[in-house]
Amino acid sequence: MLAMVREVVDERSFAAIYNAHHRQAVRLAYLLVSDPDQAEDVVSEAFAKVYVRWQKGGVRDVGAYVRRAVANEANSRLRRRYLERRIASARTGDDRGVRLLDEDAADRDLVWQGIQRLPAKQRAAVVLRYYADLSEADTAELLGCSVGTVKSNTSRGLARLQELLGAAGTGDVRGGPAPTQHPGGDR
Amino acid sequence: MDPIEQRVRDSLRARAEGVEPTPSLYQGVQQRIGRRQRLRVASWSLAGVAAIAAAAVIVPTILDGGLPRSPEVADTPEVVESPAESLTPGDPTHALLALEDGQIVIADLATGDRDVTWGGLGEVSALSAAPGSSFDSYQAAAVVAPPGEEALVVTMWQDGDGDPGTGGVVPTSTLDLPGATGQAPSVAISPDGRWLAYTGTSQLVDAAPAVYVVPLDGDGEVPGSLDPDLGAAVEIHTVTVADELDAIDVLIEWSGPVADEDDLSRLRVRGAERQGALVLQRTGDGFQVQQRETYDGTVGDAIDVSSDFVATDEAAVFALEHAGGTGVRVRLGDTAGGTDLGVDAEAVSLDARGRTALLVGGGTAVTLRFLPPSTVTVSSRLGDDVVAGALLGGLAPSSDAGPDPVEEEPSGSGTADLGDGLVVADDRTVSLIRPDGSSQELVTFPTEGESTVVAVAVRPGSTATDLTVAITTRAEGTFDVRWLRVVDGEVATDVDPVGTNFPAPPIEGANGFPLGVPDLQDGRAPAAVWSPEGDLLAAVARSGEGAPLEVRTIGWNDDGPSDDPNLAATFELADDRSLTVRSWVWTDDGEGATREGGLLLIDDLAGEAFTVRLDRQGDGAPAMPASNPLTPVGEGVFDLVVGDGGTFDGALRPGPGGAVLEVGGASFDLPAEATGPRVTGRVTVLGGSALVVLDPAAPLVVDLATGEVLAAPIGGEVVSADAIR
Repeated sequence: MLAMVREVVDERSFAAIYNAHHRQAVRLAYLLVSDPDQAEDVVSEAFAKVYVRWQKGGVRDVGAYVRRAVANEANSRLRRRYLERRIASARTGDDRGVRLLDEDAADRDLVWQGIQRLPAKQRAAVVLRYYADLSEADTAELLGCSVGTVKSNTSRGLARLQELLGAAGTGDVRGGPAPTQHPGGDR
Repeated sequence: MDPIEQRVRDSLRARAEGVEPTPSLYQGVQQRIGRRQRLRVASWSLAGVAAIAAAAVIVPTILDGGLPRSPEVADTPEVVESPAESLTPGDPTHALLALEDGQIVIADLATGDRDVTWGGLGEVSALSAAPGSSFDSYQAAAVVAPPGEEALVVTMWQDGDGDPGTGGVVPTSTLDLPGATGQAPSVAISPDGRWLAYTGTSQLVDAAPAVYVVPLDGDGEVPGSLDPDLGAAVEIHTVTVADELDAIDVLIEWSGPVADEDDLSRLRVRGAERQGALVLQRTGDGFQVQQRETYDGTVGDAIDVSSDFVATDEAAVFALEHAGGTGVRVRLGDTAGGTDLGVDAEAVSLDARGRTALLVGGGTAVTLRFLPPSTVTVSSRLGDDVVAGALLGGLAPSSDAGPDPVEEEPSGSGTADLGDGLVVADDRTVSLIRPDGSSQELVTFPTEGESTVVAVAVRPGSTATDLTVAITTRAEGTFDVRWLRVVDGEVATDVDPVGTNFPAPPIEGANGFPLGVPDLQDGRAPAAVWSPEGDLLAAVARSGEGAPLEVRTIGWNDDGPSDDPNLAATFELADDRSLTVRSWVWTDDGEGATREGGLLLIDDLAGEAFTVRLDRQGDGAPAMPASNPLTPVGEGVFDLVVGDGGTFDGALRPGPGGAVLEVGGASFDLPAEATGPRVTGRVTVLGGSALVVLDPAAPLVVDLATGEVLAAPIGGEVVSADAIR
């Protein structure tokens, strides 16, 4: 009976942790993998890992731990999907996706398309630095690499984006395949 | 924030704001948690039922095969469900298993618990773990074939304690691996996790079977293969056409040193009817094949042999052989029999570490464990859904098994003598091995672009709970000497053992520490040695390429490097050879104002040893005669042993059987298979024993009273070791 009570308490406590962090986790995952369904899959796996760790009392900063688990899981999936996209690109041709009408929105969409074309490590560095507002040191710790690597990946990512956006101004944005899916769509 | 940064931030935030979790997300989380818990429960119940089946299928076949010379198989084999109590420091603890559904799991050998690491994308056809891999820290590669697509090579690694942020999985398409063609290759990862070897088809020589080696980055990725800036270009560092081994079908394991130029390692391979090894020599930018070895005949028609030195008193050799037709049999020891497994040879794999073998065949995985003195058990059955597997933890295989591996293995009956304990190092980690065989990790260097450990030296007067270690490290071709202290069993210097602040300040001195010097000739390291009292540390180095050879010293006290300027001295040697320093001894009783002594220096490639006089003056400062000539003390020597009396009374020399250890007038033959193609090694005296590191994967302890050769209970690669005295 005591074990049962303990399970219920654990579950309720974990639910509170979930409620506090899941929205940000899903958004971060989406920015890392582009696909809303995959983002939820990533977050499910991440929280399952967090639960195991949390049960053992090994999580001090749950938010950071969730971010770390999400980034790691997303990174694996992103690399796998990049392969799939490379194969698909040979067949599908233009995959720039749907553009928005508003000028600012169109620019944000254009930037987003560029972000999706970045290699996984550059994309993770850019998202964590400019969306999650993590410092270079925190980003390095989260990604398990050196600060120099974060600087390098961020710098290369931004340079690549500028290159892609410049190409977009000339009407040639084909840096590589990256089908765009909008949040909430295509479910 | 510049405009592009602002645009990126705006875009990311706008995109994120449009994302809301669905109500079903929490259900997904609960399902994942439940699935993990069910996996554990299921594997527990499987173990109970399956062990009986394993005993019925596997154990009788072992019994039928006759008795091996050593060890013997019990008449009534004991079936052990949870053999944790029988684990020794040399036994593996976990296995990586590839399942029929494409998942790759880690299974606990003691409990049967499984934890999913990756998978579900497609059928797995090959799985290999790097030597020295353990549950907490492993690197592995697998070949996965998604339906209707090119095969993927998946590299997996774990750097820490199971934290999801410290491991990862990287799929690389075989499209990115030159020569891999569309066929599923066999894969192996180098011992340091930085290289991937795979089988393929030569693009240069008539599409012959070939073995390739390409680099992996710190995260297990083939550099450039996934980077759109570089397209699919991958630098090919090694291509070898496997003509002398017929067709190489399987890469079994890659062992030996690979960090430095001219390092020699072995890639064990297997063809349809023969097995062998490629001896790979490290070059400036990759590897070249230095030697090919083939084995056939006397071990039946061997399919696979895994052999190990074990921590205690017996050597266990597990072998897979053809049994006629398509059958395959497993054999323990050197019995001429062997036991038919009743499964197809194509579907069987064998891995062995310590006293444990993992056998995967016909969809079933079992572990066999040899329990001294004469019992072999089916210790656990790991499921009927397994297609490939590799053991984690335990002792890595010591060498390639030859025609009769048992006869060539050292066999002793004593227990390895650890004296007061050992400090051992692989190229990244320095650990303390206590006399009871337990170990404590003292420091681990980061894997990315940082230093590798080349030598350790324990300060005299240290104990297992209070010690100082000088660590010689190499980074980008230059060396430094660093140090750490352990007080009351805890690392007490102000170092972060795994962080960016390591090490504590390198040895600072007026005369040149940190060494910061290029390689000595032939890449030898300027290892540091302590004075017998531990109050001076010395190293041989050069200030730069072409500069004369120097002996540098620095004073030391219990808190660390001394600031006494008299103790920090540099002496240029008159004879300019390529030497490293081995030890420092006094040759008088210290009654006079000046105590006479000397350093023992060695040129291990030339096989020459020398002494140079180095005295201590009345104020403790070192002094060297102006002429400081080198005095030859031996030829044909690649290491020297300093006896208890402070004299140079021992030597390690090449011998007809591999190597000969000479100490105090006695001589001991050391086994050939531990020596490798180039005889080099280190000897450390442990009271009545000597620790000999000839093969980094299989350090030996020689009992100097009986001459018995034992395996040291040290898992993983050992590049350097020193005794606590």
